[in-house]
Amino acid sequence: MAYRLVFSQILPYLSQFLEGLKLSVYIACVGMAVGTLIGIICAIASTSEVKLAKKIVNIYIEVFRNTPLLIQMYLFFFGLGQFNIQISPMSSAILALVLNNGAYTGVIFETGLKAVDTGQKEAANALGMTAFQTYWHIIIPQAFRIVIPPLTNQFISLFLFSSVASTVSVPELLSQTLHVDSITMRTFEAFIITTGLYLIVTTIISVVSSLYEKSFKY
Amino acid sequence: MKKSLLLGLSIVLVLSILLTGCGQQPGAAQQSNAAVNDTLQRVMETKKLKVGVLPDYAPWGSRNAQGNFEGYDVDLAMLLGEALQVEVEVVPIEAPNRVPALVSNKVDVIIACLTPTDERAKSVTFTIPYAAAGLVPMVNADNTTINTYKDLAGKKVAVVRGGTPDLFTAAAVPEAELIRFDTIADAYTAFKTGKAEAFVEEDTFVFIEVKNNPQYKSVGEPFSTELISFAVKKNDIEWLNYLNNFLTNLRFTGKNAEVYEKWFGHAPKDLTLR
Repeated sequence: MAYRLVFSQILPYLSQFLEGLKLSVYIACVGMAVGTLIGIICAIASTSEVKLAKKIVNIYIEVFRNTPLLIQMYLFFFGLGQFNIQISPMSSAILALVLNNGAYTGVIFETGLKAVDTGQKEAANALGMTAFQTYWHIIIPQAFRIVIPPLTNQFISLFLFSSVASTVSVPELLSQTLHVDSITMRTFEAFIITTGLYLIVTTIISVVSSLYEKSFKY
Repeated sequence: MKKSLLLGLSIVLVLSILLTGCGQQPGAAQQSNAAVNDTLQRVMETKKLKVGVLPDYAPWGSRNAQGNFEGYDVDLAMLLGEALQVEVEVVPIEAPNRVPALVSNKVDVIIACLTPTDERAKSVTFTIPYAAAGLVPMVNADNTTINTYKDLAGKKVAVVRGGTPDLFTAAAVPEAELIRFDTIADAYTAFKTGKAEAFVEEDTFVFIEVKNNPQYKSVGEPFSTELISFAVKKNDIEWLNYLNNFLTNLRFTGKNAEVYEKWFGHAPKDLTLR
């Protein structure tokens, strides 16, 4: 191929890439934190004995896992806008990612909770612990350890999926890349830089997670 | 884990080296480039011309209900095919794959309402202009705060990412808060659903929409006028010469103005120096 990469034309825009990266990381972190919380609540509800809660959680999880994230984001942004419910691009992106991520982590935590031996729960009951104490001190800490690897995968996918936010005009990393590309028309160079940035962050996530997982070994 | 980081980074590195290829040895590269880059010869030999057009930007280029491409740019592509006496294949392209499509010979020329800015001319080669487009803001008919384009300062303005509206609104009104969308349809929907107070697009598009939708109005005369050119890849000099000559003839004979008027309903803007 006779194409010559010229990075010098892209370098003046490096700060825009970093701005975008900051926003992508922020979106992913908020999505993960709030989504995980929703996931835990969903998992507790669906492993409980309350039929109605089980049903509601089940519907929520199925709806959000079986529809594309892009469509969800469009619905929150353009769809609500048509009914005059105005939320900013950023909030609609985060809302979609949180709810989407909540559904996925819900399933992950459900598996984690179910993987904790029932003997643990029975022992806690026998010791006179309340349901809350049982969950908070016995079940959740053990379940958490089991779900770290799938949760890490979910965090990485979430970070990569945050690029969908560019379609609702959030100036995150992909959006900034496309912008720099349109100014300079240095497409390959812009995308190589972005690939590198995504790769660095996802690698950091998996390294930190594996160190954290190791700290649990006894 | 560290291994996978190294592996990943080396893949990126290898990819960049592969892409750079013969760029490392300018002397040898230029000789082989001459053969590889001769698009004119390739088009004549294969009897096939691949033209990149926009698939969603009427009246420049769009897909009609039957799925066929139509528009001003598409008609010019057909005329170019006639002049070369070759078959024309219309290839839909979006902003991010313009340059890759040219470099990898997926398209021979881009006719896609593309503005030849100085910055872009460093990475692709532009022909002489064949049209010019002005930019006009569009607001709700009952809007009283935006009376000239300068009033866009501090306002949310929807634009399509990477197009002339994006680049030149930012230049003309740096204080405007641009919200950028992937497609013109998304930017327009964002304006219509109240996500932005104004929408900046090409004058032709805005004037047609305003005429059909009385709930919107255009704001003043075009505040910026930009040239539109064909684009080819770098170092493709023979091909560039051919296209420049083709456009000179097309403009001189009045054929260009005729096709323009067919799609836009009025005479094209004057392309002579101001």
